[in-house]
Amino acid sequence: MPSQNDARAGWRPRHGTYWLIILPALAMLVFLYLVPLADVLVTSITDPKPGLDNYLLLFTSTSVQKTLLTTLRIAALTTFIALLLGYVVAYAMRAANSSQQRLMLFCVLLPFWISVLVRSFAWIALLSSRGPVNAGLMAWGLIDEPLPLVRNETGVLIGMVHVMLPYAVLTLYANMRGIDVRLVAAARSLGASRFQAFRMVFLPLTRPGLIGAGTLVFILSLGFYVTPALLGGGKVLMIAEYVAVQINDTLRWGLGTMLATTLMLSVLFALWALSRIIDVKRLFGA
Amino acid sequence: MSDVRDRQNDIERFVHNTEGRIYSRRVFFGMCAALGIAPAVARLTPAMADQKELVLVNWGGDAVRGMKASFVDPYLKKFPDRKVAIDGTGPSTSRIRLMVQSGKVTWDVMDRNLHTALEIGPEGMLEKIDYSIVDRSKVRPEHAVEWGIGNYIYAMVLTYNTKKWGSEVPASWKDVWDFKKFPGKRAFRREPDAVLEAALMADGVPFDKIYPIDMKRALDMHKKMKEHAIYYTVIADGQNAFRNGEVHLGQLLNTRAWPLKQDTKGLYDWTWNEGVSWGACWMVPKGAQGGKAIWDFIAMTQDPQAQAELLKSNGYGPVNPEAFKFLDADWNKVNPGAPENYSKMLQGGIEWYAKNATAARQQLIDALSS
Amino acid sequence: MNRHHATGIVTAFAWMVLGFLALPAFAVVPISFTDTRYLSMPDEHFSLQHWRAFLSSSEWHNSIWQSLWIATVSTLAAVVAGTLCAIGCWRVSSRWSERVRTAMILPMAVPTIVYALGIYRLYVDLDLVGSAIGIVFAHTVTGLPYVVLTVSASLANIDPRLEQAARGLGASVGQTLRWVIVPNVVPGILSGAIFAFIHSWDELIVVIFIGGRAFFTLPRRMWDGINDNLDPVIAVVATGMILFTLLVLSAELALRARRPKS
Repeated sequence: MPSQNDARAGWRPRHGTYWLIILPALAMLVFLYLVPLADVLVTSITDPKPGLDNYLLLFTSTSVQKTLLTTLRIAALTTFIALLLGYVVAYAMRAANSSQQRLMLFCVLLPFWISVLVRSFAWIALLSSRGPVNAGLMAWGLIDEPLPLVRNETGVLIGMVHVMLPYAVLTLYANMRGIDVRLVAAARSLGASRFQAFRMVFLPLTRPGLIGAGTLVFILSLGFYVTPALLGGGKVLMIAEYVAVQINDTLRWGLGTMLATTLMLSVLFALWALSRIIDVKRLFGA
Repeated sequence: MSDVRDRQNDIERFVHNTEGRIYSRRVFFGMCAALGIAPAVARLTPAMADQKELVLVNWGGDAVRGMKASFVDPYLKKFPDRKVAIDGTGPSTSRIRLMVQSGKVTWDVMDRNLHTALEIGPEGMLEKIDYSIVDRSKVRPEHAVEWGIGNYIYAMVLTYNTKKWGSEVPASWKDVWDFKKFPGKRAFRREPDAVLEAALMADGVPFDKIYPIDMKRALDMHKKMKEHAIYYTVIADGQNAFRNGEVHLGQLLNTRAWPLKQDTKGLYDWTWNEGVSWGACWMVPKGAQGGKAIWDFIAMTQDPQAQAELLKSNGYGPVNPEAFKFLDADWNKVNPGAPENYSKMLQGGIEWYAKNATAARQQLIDALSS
Repeated sequence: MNRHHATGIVTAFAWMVLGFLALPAFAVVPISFTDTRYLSMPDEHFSLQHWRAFLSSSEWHNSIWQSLWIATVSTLAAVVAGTLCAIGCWRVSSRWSERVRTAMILPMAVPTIVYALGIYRLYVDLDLVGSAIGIVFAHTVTGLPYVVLTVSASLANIDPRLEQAARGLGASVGQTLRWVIVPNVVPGILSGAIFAFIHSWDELIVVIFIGGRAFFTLPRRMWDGINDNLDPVIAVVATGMILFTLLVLSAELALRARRPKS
């Protein structure tokens, strides 16, 4: 029986073919994304004058720091809530019978068809002080005064979790479907309680799904723009909007592109750090 | 030979139908080759050179319909052999800068405002207005600058609920900052122009002392306002906040306050008192290809009757003071350019914003962000 | 806790979350029947005026058509390239393939506006501004990360020895992909496809920069309608899309029911 290493060495020559199938996506990424992007990101060290002045703002400008912190806080909260809720839904979907599953899938896909723009206005209509949600809560006597559910950070979170939840559910569900249910059954037959079987067998198996969904949701959350602008009442500023303001309304492209570069490098660093903490191959699978 | 001409016509029709842009140059050349014509023949026919259309860029929606009816149609009547296309995708500063830098300028006339013209003109992004064709004397002196000429007047006005406080209605910015006398949610735009001025007026600064703006004083006022107000980034959203009862008083564009009054059957109204008036203007990107047609078009839009038409279709205030003669008293009630309304308002400080807009916007956003 | 109890609680909670997901739809449907000229609940009575406006507007139809085919073509391209890339990286599994996979995520991590500036500059040089192929390329490359991420998550469940066994039995790389790997990652491919489609379908900023005048996709048309008076037609479009998904899913369900169980 050959050792693992021998087997690997034996596979090597065939990797050429696999590199070949990586190529189309890689070529597109390089020529249609990285090259034009680099052309712009370079302005972060050339505009308004050559040098690292824009990057110094990371350490000196309270407004940049505040925006970064707000973005991190909201993205982290959104990711946490979306993963938690998404896990429950994906789990229930996996256990449901086929027709129930369809209905659940329909509910998950439903929000996709309502553009983020329209959804924001729908939330404003639903959650504002005179909207149906507050009216309902007051009619049931649960509250006396309308709750400030929108035009603040709460509103931004509700809106963002709503946008991100389908991504979390579908990614987790795709992962859970691939899990062999007999493993859980086996654990049960060996005397584990339902909860133990879940915690010791099922949960670890869904870890790639959780990491994949978490990465997806967190990175996407960092880039939110329309939802915070509308649901935050103008008082919740996230980094993507900050960058857009610098680029669209002012001539400070250097500042905007510096922030974009910083964001990009932080994400790359976070992915790298993640791959150190957990097994490299586990990050995306493999 | 007639065969070739037919094909050439086909190509021209194709280019025209697709606005010449759907397919890339290479596809276009490929098609020429397939049809058996040298690309040069198809591209460089004199007929096509004459057909350079004027591209007018504005902010879309009703502005496209309104400017077409009041400006473009009369212009085409005067010059039947010319062409105008309206592009409603918005001449944002970033897109102007990109286009001018790229060296391939496809726009001719852009609808922005005077303080932007003064801000980006010196950066080399705009052509200077040709005042040998465009008539400077048809607008108020404050509405003609080196890189921009006024095309209509808009105003940020105090808008309020007429029933919320019994017989009382807020009449000045002091009232808007009076949270006891006029309780309720406020709305402001999250942009410095007019928002800072309102705060200073509320703090008792007279019109002639507003500029240069005392940033600290204005922002301190807004820090007090913050918890009582929403700051909208999309104007239609601000208008909507009034309409659905979320907001009871605040600052809104006059072109939005008017439909708001109609939609709510008079529940909301506005006052010109202490409004802030601004000049929207035509600007021309550096390197525009339209030539003299650009200035002909702009000169045409100064016509008082065309200006009056634009008010009727869009609520945009005529920049030519003569226009009010073509309007009856009812129309002049909604006209920010009508002398009796214009005189009640503060004239927006375009020179101050040309220099300070970027910093002021940043400081306002910082003061508001939690 | 007995079995039914625990599952019941989880299911009930899941349905509550699903209700939250469906909530805005419950607002959007009645809004589409509003009798006002702006986005709001019906004021006095239900009205079909905005449905009529939508059905008779060639502008909206063109926009839907443009968005539909741009999203379809770029999704297909992104799914094919993204799936192959994810499988290749999974199989090669070296430091370099990990780097490639990480780089694939970049389009999600950079604010769109910055990319929009860059792609505009490139397209001016290539004369692709306002071209269909230009938009499709841009949407494909920005849709790739979704596919790479979801397919990679699905691949995590496959035992690499499966591939080894297939190859050992003499299957070519193509056959192995076709018969062994791809069938096992279908859920990942499907969710990646949905994400990539929605990404293109909802994308506004890049299109504003590179769309020229010829391309007025649905988000652009909606933004145009929003800017003026929150045109209720955008609620009609959303309702139409909801009905369409409902139709497709129930048709599929009906077909399944008719097929005898094997």
